[in-house]
Amino acid sequence: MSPSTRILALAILLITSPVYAGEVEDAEHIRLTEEMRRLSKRNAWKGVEAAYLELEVLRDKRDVALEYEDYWLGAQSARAMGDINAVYNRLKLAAKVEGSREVIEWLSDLDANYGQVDIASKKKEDVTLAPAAMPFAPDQRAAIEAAQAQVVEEGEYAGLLPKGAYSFGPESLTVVAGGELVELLLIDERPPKGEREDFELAYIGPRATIGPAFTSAGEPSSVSWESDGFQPHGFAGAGARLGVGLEAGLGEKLGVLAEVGYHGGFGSAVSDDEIDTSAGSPYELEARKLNTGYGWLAGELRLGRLWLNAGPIWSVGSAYTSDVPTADEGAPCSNCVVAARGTIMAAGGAGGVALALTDIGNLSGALSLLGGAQSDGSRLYTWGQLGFTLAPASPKSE
Amino acid sequence: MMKFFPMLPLLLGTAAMAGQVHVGEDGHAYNPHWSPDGKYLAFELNRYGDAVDLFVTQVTTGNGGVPTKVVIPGTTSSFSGRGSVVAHPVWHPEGTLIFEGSNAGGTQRLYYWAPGGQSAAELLNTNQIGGDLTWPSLSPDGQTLAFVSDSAGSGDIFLWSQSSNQVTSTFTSPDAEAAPRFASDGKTLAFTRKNRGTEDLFLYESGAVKALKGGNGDQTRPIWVDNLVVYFTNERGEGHWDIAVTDSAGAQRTILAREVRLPMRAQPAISPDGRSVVYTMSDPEQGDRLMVTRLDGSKTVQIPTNLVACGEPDLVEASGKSWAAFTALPSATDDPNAASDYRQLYIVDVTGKLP
Repeated sequence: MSPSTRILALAILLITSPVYAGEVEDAEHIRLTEEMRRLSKRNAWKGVEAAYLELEVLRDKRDVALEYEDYWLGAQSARAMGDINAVYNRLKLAAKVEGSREVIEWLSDLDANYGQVDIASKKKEDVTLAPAAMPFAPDQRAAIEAAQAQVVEEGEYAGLLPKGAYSFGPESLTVVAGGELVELLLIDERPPKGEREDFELAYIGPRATIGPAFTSAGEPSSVSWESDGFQPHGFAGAGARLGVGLEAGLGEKLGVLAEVGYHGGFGSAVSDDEIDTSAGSPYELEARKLNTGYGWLAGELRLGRLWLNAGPIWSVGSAYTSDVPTADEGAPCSNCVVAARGTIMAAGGAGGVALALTDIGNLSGALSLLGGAQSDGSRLYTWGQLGFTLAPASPKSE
Repeated sequence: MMKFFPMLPLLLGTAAMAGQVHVGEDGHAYNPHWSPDGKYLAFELNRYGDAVDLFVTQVTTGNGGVPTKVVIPGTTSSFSGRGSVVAHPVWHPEGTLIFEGSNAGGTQRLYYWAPGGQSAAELLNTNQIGGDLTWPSLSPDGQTLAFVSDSAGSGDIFLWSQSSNQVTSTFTSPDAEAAPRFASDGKTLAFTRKNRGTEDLFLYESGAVKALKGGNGDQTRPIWVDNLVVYFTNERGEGHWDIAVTDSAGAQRTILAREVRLPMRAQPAISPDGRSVVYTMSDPEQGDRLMVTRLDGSKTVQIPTNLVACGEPDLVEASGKSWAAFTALPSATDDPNAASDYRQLYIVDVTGKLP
C-alpha cells in the first residue's frame, strides 16, 4: 500500500468511525424495540421489562433518545410487574414524546384511581398493609401486592396505591384518588403507667468471659502465725478467670448480667534463699495459689459499642501459701517455713469496660478489661483481667 | 314435559326510530353488549378473514358517541392489530370490560379494559392458567369469573376468585365444555358440553355435574333468569333455532320462540325486568323487527325497526328508560343512500314497548 493510499484509508477510518458508533447504538435501539414489540404480543412482560431496562441504559449512558413506543411498552411491562410508580413515570415520558390519546387517558385513569401514600412503621413487631377489599383490576391488585411486599421487607412504602380503604398495622387509612399525600408513621408509644403490660427485654442471651488475670492477696490487717488464726503475708500471681452466665437488656442501653465462674491466681513458692537449709529442707514446698469460684451480678450500660458494667461479687475457694516468719512476728519458730492451706470467702465489687468488636450470630464479641476488689475481713484481694467476652448483641438501631 | 303456546297473543307496535352508531370503519357489527349502567356499549366489528375488533361507544340518551377501538398489547391504536381477534365482551359490575383476545396466530387469552382508562392488559397470566381462554362469565357480584381453558384437554371450566386471585378447576372431563353462566347464587353454573357430537346443557352445582337438557341437536348458550335457564336449541333440525326455557331441575321445558336468528356469540337477550326474552327472526320477511316474549309464554310483542335482517339484540335500563341495541342492515327501500353491505349497530328506545 502506497503512503498516499494509507493516508486516504486512515482519513476514511477517522471520518466514518463516529458514524459507526452511532449506528451501533441505533441498531441496538431498533433491536430492543423490536424485541419488546415481539414479546408484548405474547404477553411475555418480564422479557419486555428487561429489554426496556436495557433501553434505559442506552438512553442514560449513550444518549440514545427513546421513542414513544419504547415508553408505551415500558409502561405496560411495568404494569405487569406491579410497579405502578414506574408505569406513571414512563407514561409521563411517553406523553412528552407524543401526547397521544391513549397515554393521556391512561394517565388520567391513574389520577382517577390512585393516590399517593408515604407509610412507614418503626414498630418492633411486623406490620402489614391490607386493603379493605381487593380490587378487580389486575394492575391495581399488582400495585397493592407490590406495596405489601415492600412493607414486609422494608417496613415502608412510598408511592401510588389504588384508591380505597386500607389497614396499616393497627391504623386505617383512606387513599383518595388524586388527593393529598397520605402519610402514616407507626411508632411504639410508651403506654401510660398502669397499662404497661407487655414488657419485652431488648435482648437476652448467654454471656461468657475468658482471659488471663492477675490477682493480689494483700497484706492482712495483722500477721498471725497462730494455728487458730493463721494470717500469713500477702502474695500475688498471674492466673486466669473463666465465667459463664446470662445477660438481658432491660432497654436498648441498660442491661443486667449474672455470671459464675472460676478465678485462679498462682504465685511463687518460698525460695531456698529465704530459708536456713543447713538442717536440710523439711519438705517440698508448693507454689502459692488461689482457686476460687465466684458469682457476679452486675448492671451494664451500653453506649454503642462501649459497654460498662459493675456489681457485687462473691467468691469461695481455697488457698495455699507458704512463708518465712521473721523473729518479731511472734511465730513459733524463726527461719522456719510455715505453710498452710485454708478456705477463702470474700465479697466485694467487680466491674469493667468492654469494646464490642464483632457480631457472631445473635451475640457480640468484645474485648473486655475487668477488675475487682474483695475482702474476707482480714485482707483485700484485688484483681484485674483482660478477656474476651461473648454477650447478646444489642438490638439494631432504627 | 314440553309445552307449546300455539295461540300466542301477538302485539304489533309502531316502528321505533333506531339511532345508528357510526363506527367509521368497514366490517359487520356484531354482539353488542351494554355495560350494567347503560353508559357504554361494547360491540365487535367483524372483518371476516382479517380481524375481529372490539369497540366501545359511550351512549348518552340513546346516542352512541365515536367508538373507541380496544386494542390488546403488542399494538397501539396507532398501530392497529391486523389479524388480531378481540371479541366476546363481558362487563364487570365495577365497569371493567373483560374479553377474549389474540394476536395473529397467537393464543386466545382473557383481557380487561376500562372505558376512558388505560390500555387493555391480560387478566390472567400463563402462570395462573395456560392454554386458550374463552367464554368469560362473571358471577352477579363480580367476585368470581368462570371461563374455559383448553390447557388440560378439549376445554374445561375454571374459576378465578377476585378475593384470592387464585384459579381453581371445577371438574375435568374428556368432552369440551363451553358457555358457562352463573346463577344468581354466584355458585351454580349452567354450561354446555359437546356430548356425542351435539351440545347438551349441564349444571355444575355443589361440586357435582348433572345433566340439565339434552336430546336432538344442540342446546346451547344458557342464561339464568332467577331459577330458570333460557337457551337456544336446534332440536328440530340444523338451521332451525328456537328459544327454550327450563327450570333448574330440567322438569319443565317450554319453547318460547321458533325460527329465531342465532346471534354470533351471545346468549338469549333478557329484558331489564327479567320477565321477557328478546330476539329476532331468521325469516327475512320478519327480519325488520325485534321480538319480545314473556318467559311464561303469555305474551309476545313486536317492535318494528324499519331495518333489515335485525339481529344480536341486547337490552339495558338506564336513566329510567329501556334501551335495545341490535345490529341490522339499513333498509335500502326506505333510504337508498343508507344502503350498506355491512351490518350496522343501532340503538332504540323500547321504553313502554316491552310486555
